[in-house]
Amino acid sequence: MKSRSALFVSVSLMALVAMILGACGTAPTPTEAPAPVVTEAPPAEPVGCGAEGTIIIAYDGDIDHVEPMEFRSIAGYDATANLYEPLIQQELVDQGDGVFIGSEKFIGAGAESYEVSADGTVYTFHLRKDAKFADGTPITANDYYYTLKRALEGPGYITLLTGFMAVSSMDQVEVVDDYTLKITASQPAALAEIILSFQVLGAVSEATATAHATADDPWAETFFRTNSNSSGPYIITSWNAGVEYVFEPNPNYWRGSEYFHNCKVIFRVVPDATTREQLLRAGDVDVALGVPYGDLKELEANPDIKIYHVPTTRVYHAGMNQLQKPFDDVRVRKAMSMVVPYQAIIDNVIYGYGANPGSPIAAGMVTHTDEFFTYDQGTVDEAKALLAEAGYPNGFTVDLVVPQEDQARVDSATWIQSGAATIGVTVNVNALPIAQFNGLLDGMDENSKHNLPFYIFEWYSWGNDPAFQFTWNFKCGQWTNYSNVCNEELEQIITDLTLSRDPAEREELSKRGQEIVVQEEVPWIYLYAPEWVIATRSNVSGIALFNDLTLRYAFLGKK
Amino acid sequence: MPRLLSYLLRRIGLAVVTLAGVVVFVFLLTHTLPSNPASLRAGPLADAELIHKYEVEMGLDQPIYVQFARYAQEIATGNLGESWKTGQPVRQELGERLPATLELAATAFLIALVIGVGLGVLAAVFAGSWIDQGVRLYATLGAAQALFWLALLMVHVFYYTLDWAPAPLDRLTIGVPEPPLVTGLFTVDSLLAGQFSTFLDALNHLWLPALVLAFVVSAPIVKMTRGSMLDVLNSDFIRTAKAIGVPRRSVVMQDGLRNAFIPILTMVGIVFGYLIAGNVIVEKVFSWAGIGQYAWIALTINDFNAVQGFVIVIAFMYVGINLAIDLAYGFIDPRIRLG
Repeated sequence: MKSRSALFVSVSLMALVAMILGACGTAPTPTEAPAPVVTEAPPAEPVGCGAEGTIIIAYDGDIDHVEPMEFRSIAGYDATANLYEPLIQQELVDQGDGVFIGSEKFIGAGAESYEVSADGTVYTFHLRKDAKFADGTPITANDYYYTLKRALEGPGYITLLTGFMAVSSMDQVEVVDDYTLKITASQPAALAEIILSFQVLGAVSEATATAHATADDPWAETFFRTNSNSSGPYIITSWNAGVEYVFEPNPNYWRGSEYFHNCKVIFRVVPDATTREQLLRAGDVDVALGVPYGDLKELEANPDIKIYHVPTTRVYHAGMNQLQKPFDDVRVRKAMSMVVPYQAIIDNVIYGYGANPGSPIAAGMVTHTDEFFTYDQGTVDEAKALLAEAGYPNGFTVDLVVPQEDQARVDSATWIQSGAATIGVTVNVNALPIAQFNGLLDGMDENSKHNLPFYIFEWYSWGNDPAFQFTWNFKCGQWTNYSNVCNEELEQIITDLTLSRDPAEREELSKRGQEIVVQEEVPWIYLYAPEWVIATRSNVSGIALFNDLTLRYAFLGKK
Repeated sequence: MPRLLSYLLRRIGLAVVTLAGVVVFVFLLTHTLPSNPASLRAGPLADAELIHKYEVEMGLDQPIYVQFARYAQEIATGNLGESWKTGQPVRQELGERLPATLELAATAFLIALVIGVGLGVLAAVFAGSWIDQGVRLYATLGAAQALFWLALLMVHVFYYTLDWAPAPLDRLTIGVPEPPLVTGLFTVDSLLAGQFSTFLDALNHLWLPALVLAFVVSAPIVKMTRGSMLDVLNSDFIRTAKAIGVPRRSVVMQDGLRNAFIPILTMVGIVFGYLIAGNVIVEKVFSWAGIGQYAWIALTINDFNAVQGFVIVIAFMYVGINLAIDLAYGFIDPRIRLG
């Protein structure tokens, strides 16, 4: 799954202590109970509401809508991450220097604590009694029940996620009492916590939804696209589409005012990258997103500016379609992998702000290994020999399709082109508008198989788990398996990875899976896993990275 | 004025046909691109089932002529459909953004007209002199300028370096409330509401993007004015006027300019195209939330209805302006018969 998940952490020490006590009191569970939180964001000093308490962010995109269960723009996900409170969330670990990173542990959010049955199928959540929606009504188990119902039966794509926690019907969800919710998975689900921590399963008020539902619009999507009854830390107090959105702390948020390091976040739409940089340099905005890699070094040298950059597991790759000539021969795929100038791409395309992942499971995702990636050692002679064996002694000509809006991908294509030329392969770079690019990528042949031969794409699994990464990209018949990988052994590995809750077993499964993908199937040329980059004024800190890569505004504050 | 009326009706009829052609053309164009909006709406995390569900919901599973018939019906009732991305009516979204574009374009156009005609006349009157050379250099530079680069440069110089211009963030300083809505033009609305400080703020945000746009747009006006003016000044009736002792100022400004205005007017219609194209770029650099920016985003994600809505609005304006120009000919030059 692409994109982020949601986990928020938090918090005021008092709430924290209460949470840990609560967890200890109610969780006699043999499996993983929420671990005690070791590190957290420090509680905020009271902030004044003048310029010192206001954070202005120059966004590279616009909020299209804030309906939590429909796909939306990256900026839209940033907004909803601050509006909806999931049951649980990733624990944040303080990295120092104002940076917090979500770990693989989960702690309560909307739920004070939770238990998992020994076999990993029954999840019982004890909700907070002090949690309220922005309108002051309490958040009860019914609301989380309704939220899951909306996910399973409602408007968007969320059923594709709930499948990972082996929940497909509302019969599996039970409201035990106002503050207890029980979810029974149909089989052990290793990924249940990850899924339940996603912002897309943050509490939606049933009463609000019912009040705005109509016969044509039973889930009140129209209302929720531009409104919310926030269960999360912020409310939107001003909505000026295409220009500005103002976020202010939700006065009813359960964590209270100590949670907030600012008292207002102003989201400004600034479509031009150079303009965003100028605004940041001049100090008219506090944070700028979407700064081109090529400009970062120079900005880092500026004492007024701080560049936060954190590794991610987003994998940019050149996909080779196994059902299309000439890539239907694995020797061709290997030969192509051997001649790409990997280091030059890291140095000149992303300017060192990232690394080659060497695997579909990038560093930073559990079970990552790049031991099977040896293509950077490959020589032109070896590659030529492979091509000759495959019946292409004189090379071939192929189109490489990239979205023209993404300069880094266009640049990467040029490097691939130069590498391929050394073995007589002519690569024509075809840069298309993103809409056309996606159209081609989705294209199908008569057998309902994707038919774009060669393209540069990127994949980030919100849950940051190898099970997601393998499923979305390499599972037989999966819609997003654009290179048409279909390997029997891998199928079994994917199933087992999704079910197993044993870290050692998962490690072993994932390792073999990576070997199959990197060494035997070779569907991808690995280009780079870029860092998550945020440019701020040097007095701004509080960057929290959860595994959905959305900005949690509450941490942002000025020194 | 029965003759004018029949002319008007005929022109309006023609305009309707033109617009219908635009609707058909843009519909076919957006719908034949290799891109499926249902898939884009479903997001990367999709499957065939969800995409199909959206296709049905958005009517994309229907044959293209059925889709067109539905769309034409919507247009006929004044609707432009809904943006699939935001779920909001396109008419409303364009309506909210149109005033920003009009305010910028109209200001730029006025500046361009004053500069363009002024410099053009000067160059013609002093043809061959250093003034003429200077004006021609200006026109060449204006025509040769990459607008995107120029806009960035101006932001760098006037905002970042000199601090004469405010932050290039839309139309008002952060925190300044919009004036009560009347026309949507902030300069006008703020004056109507008596909010003089808001007026100054709006003007302060307007001048730099308007100048950038005006510089590029004025170049063809300068050239056309100069050429047209030279032709007129060298014609027999001007020579006669000079010979009988009509003062030079009067010859130039009344006889000369009025006669030179006809080709200039034609130019104005063409310049409008420059303005709209330029607006898209200037709006992007100055974070100006007009319809240019809106269309640009819609185009990159193939938001059919939004793109179509934009093209139709522009086509309306284009046709309207050219109609007005044709009518204006008659007033400037009685020799042109409206028939």
